[in-house]
Amino acid sequence: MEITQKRLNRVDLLHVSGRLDAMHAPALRNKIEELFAEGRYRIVLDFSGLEYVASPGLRVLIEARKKARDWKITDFEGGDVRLASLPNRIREVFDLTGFTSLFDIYADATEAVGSF
Amino acid sequence: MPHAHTTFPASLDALVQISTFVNTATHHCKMSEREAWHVQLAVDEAATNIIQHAYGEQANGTLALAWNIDAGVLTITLTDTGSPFEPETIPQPDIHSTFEDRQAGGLGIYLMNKLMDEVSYRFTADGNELTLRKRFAEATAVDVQHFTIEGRLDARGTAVALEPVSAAVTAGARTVLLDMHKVSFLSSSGLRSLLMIRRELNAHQGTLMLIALQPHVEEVFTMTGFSQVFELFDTNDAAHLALRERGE
Repeated sequence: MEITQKRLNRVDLLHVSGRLDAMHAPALRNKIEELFAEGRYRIVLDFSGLEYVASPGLRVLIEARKKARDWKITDFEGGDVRLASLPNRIREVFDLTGFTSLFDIYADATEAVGSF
Repeated sequence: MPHAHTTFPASLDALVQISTFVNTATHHCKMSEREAWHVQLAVDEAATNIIQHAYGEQANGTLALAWNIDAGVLTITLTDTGSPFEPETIPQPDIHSTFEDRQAGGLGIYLMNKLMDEVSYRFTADGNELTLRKRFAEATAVDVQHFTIEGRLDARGTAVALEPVSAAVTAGARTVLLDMHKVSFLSSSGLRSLLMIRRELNAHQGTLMLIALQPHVEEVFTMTGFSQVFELFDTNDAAHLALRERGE
């Protein structure tokens, strides 16, 4: 798995590629925790290069979104983890596990960044 | 009955090798890419569970994997000597709950059950044995159906002449070869009927080939532009060669 980060004004964009399995899920969790520690709670995960996701990866996503959403500027504005560019296979796992309705998923990273 | 087995260190580093091992099995089954990916994910979840939970912090554990293929079923067995797995103690995820109520656990077992046709556990003298089964469609040789069409394909003759072909297509024929050398006349109603057969076959990824058209019949195809639509062959051998080249 590889993570590349792009810091935008209000949002951090992480491009996550390769295998998000039990072996690599902790690296993504650590990366997101680092952002939280810097006070960066608006995160977009670009999954266009993601080949594989297993349950430990899904777990990281749900826990990250819970934490991000605890950070609030107002009742209507605050942190979130939003997703972009899910390949079909990844989308299928999301559908099977009910994750599709748990996240805001965008067609591409630009749209996801713009949603904040 | 193809089969293989091997033993891996019970470590997350082994997940990629395990995936490669499973890949040889799904490759043997000639599964669709999607089915193969389902098996991959299910075994990955099973192996992760054993590595992280059965062995916990314990190093030097091993994970034995075996697969075999029999009668259209791929069976994969994972054996470990860690602490016994009690699936009933794992809470089922509620996949319809709201984000706020959603719990993060239990997804691995849930996915295994969703992706495979059968998941079972057994405790043996060799350790904990987890068996995953997946049925797959066995590849069958393509059934090519031949028909020799006779007479006049006009408003009167077409229905009778093509009736056996239409019946075979309705019954599931997918690769249909029509020998047309005994067809003496073709009108627009004959063309229309052939087009309908072709459309029906196309809808099921089937193939229609027309063979040995008499010159004045072929001329009707050329004049109407339908020689671009239908696959026309001079001989039966030429049609079969084309099928072989497509791997059908």
